[in-house]
Amino acid sequence: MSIRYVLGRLLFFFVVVWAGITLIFFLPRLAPGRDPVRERLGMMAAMGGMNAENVERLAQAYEAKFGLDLPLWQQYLNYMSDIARFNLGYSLAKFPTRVIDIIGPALPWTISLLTVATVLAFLLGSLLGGLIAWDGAPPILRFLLPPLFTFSAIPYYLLGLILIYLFAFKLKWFPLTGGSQILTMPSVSFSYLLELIYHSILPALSIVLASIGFWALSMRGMMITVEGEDYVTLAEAKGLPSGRVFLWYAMRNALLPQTTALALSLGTILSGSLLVEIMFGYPGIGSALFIAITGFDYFVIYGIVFMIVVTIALATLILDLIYPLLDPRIRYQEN
Amino acid sequence: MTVLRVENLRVHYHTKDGPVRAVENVSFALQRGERLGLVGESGSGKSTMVLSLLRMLKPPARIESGRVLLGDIDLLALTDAQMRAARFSQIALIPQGAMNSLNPVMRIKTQLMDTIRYHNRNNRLDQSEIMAHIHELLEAVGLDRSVANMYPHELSGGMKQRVCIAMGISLQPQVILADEPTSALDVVVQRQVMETLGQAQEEIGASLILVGHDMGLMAQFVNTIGVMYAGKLVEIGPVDAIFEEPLHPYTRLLIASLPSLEGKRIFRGIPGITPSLLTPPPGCAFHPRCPQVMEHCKAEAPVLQEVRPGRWVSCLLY
Amino acid sequence: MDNVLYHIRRNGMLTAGFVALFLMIALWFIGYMTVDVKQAAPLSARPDLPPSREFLLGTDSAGRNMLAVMVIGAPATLQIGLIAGALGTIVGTILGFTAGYFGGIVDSVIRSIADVGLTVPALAVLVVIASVITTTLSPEILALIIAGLAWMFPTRTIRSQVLTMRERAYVEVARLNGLNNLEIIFKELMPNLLPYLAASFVGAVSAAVLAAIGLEALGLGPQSEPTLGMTIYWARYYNGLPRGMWWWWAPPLLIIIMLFIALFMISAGLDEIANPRARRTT
Ligand SMILES: Nc1ncnc2c1ncn2[C@@H]1O[C@H](COP(=O)(O)OP(=O)(O)OP(=O)(O)O)[C@@H](O)[C@H]1O
Ligand code: SF4
Ligand SMILES: [Mg+2]
Repeated sequence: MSIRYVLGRLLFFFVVVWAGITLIFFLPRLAPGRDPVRERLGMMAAMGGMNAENVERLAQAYEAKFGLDLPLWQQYLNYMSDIARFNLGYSLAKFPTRVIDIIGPALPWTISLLTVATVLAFLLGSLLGGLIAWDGAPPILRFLLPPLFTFSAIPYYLLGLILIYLFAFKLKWFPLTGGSQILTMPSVSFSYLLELIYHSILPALSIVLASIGFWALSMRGMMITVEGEDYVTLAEAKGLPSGRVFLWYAMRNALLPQTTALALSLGTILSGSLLVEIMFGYPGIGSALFIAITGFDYFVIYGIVFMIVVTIALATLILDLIYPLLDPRIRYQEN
Repeated sequence: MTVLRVENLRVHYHTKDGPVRAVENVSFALQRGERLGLVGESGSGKSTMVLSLLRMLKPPARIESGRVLLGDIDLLALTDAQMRAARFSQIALIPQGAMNSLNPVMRIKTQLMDTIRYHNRNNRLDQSEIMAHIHELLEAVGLDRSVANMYPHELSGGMKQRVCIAMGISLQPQVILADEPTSALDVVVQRQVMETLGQAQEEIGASLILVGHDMGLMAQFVNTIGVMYAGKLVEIGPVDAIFEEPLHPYTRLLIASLPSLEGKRIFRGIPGITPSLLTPPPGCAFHPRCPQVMEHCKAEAPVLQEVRPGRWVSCLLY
Repeated sequence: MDNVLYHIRRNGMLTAGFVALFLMIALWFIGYMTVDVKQAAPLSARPDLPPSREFLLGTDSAGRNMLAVMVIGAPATLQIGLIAGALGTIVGTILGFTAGYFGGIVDSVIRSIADVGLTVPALAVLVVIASVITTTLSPEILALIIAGLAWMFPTRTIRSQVLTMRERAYVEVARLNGLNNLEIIFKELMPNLLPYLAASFVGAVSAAVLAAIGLEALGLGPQSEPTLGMTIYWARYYNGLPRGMWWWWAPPLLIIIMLFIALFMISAGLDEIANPRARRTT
């Protein structure tokens, strides 16, 4: 892999994160004459209560950094330096909890659900799409196309809603909501793990079902192109077993544009699965975001949006660095 | 000694509008060590014929009838598994589009190894022997053995086609099919690659069917020329005799349209339009363009006959 | 026009998509003619009624006639998609053409911005905006906000199409014939790109609807108007699902799904026209 390529991708990572931070900072300030955070702090101070003193402190700290008397660029720099140190501020609704302490515990839930479901859907979908396009595959597979097609047109979380209704409400096979039983204490035990899996089957299923068709359809398109390539014809002419031709000549090449498509879809996939979390009350970032929105908890909202941007930028970076391992033409470029 | 005998081969593409008769009743025999050059304008069915010998055609193409005898085995009667085993070990292909014939994500050695390994029944060769064989093959086609570790995109067009030749001879097949093997290369490289192909073929004592457009190249390279028109073999005979006195009117036009003896003799095309293979003209398919057309040519279809010793022609003039 | 009819006749996907869309519009029209749309407001009827002869789709907990809500909500949702999709495609076309045709610095700048913008998830950006103006958000404003993000994908695809077309012979011929840039763009490139533009537009419409209902699932949609997404949100908010009130959330959900499937089929059909290579599909 050439140094230039790696540096280029790293630069892209930082530009994306920077763009995200900049949007989070400027977009709310575009609303004329309004600072929702200040309004919210004012409201909280007016309500008084136990935390009045803390709110006062919070408001003062906010004024010091983002006060109206400071020039915008000064506020922006303050904001950047805070974020660079992962200082995301305090929750307005659950003061004195820090934003990072709300995001931290939620993140593993989201990441595990998301990676398992996405990797599963990507691999299964690609394999299925490849087989559907392959002449040597059982024709039965072709009947899978219409249902897959239908599922792939449904947004993840609406499919989730249907699954909840069917399997949790009607059939009662799965819990209606949550990531684990409310009364169970987290522990490192087999039964707790089983419970976690039990609670995540439906959310994962909605993501997998809704996206497997997307990957199958796009893989089928790639395979139709690749199958016409001379190297596949030659591989067959060589008398290789058709499994070998399928996997190592056709699929292997069709996987390249498919991986690019994965990198491009990361944002959509993450957004979709955050909404799935909300439908299932699954205790990840999505639910945290939902709670923050209902409570006008701006620092938490901005913190979560920042985390989303970083996560996507990171995942894109990882895929960008994996891609050359799949494609020697990029690996050896400018070497 | 006859290595390959094709009898009454018919291949149709079954399209929505009806069958496209891409190969109609083609018969010929190929001797050991012989080089047969197949010429004919675009769409005359050369590639279809070549691919049908390997049974590589996909729907809508179907082999309607005929026999392809390799020794005394009819390739068309083999099971799929038997045919797969025969590919490259008995009858190999050097493809047309050299630029894109190698898997871009696989090293050259792996692609050569694939060919050898899957035909290496009972594991007669071990890994190091296979590797040694690969190095031999690469050197035999004029490449450095370091090429084994490279990827296709690191090679020039000529080098890629040499790799394809190495692949084609790697199992010492009896017949090599080469479909326009140099059409994607520039002239100088073309000659070199053809020389390599010729040497490699002679070394393993295989017979060769070469499809091409360059009559000059054909004249120098092959022993026998077969001329295809509208899915049919209209003339076949020794190369010298055909250049000296072409018998079929189409062959005559073909040779007359060549610019000069020295220049690059690429077939330029002859007046009239190529016939549709969906609804070929009745009688002799060439009659709408034939300068010597006779009345009964429009109704009666000629068959390939030996009109002089070694000269087979399909025309009612004879 | 003949050409369009020809494609519709030969192209199953496209036909099915248009038929589905037409059916939905026809259904909507029947609803619009027969239902009193004022009943989409709260307190129009007794709350929590299951479907009956009087209220075909029942009523919700606020006493809205669900059928009236659907008649009002479906076009509101589609409107968001159409406005955002149209603006996104227009801006994307202009930028894509500029970048692809002129190349150089202009191209680098446009492409980089679009690439970065495509990587930052749209939903995240929308959340930031909508959380600030949530109380005043109308469907039209929501559409404009989404349009602000909807241009990037069309820009990217159209740019790459223009890049490949620019190299084709007929553009060279046109240039030799003395046509200027604008003439080449409008007389030579545009007509060839029409299927792509149409596919881009349909794609942008469904992306915009997806973004809108995503925001609405978070409670950040227009509060005053019962769009399909907001209806599902309220149904969830007031526990319509555990209370077994399927008639509250299922109709908007089905309409959304049908809309997506119809748009998906149309864009797949358009792709087939734009991209003959994919045509070998049965
Ligand atoms: N998939 C297909 N469906 C229908 N007809 C086909 C198909 N493939 C080839 N044909 C037809 O079969 C005929 C023979 O084609 P073929 O490729 O064998 O010709 P060729 O002699 O090799 O031409 P060229 O010199 O251009 O390579 C042509 O008329 C072509 O139109
Ligand atoms: S058969 Fe008749 S038409 Fe055909 S080539 Fe001979 S002379 Fe010409
Ligand atoms: Mg050919």
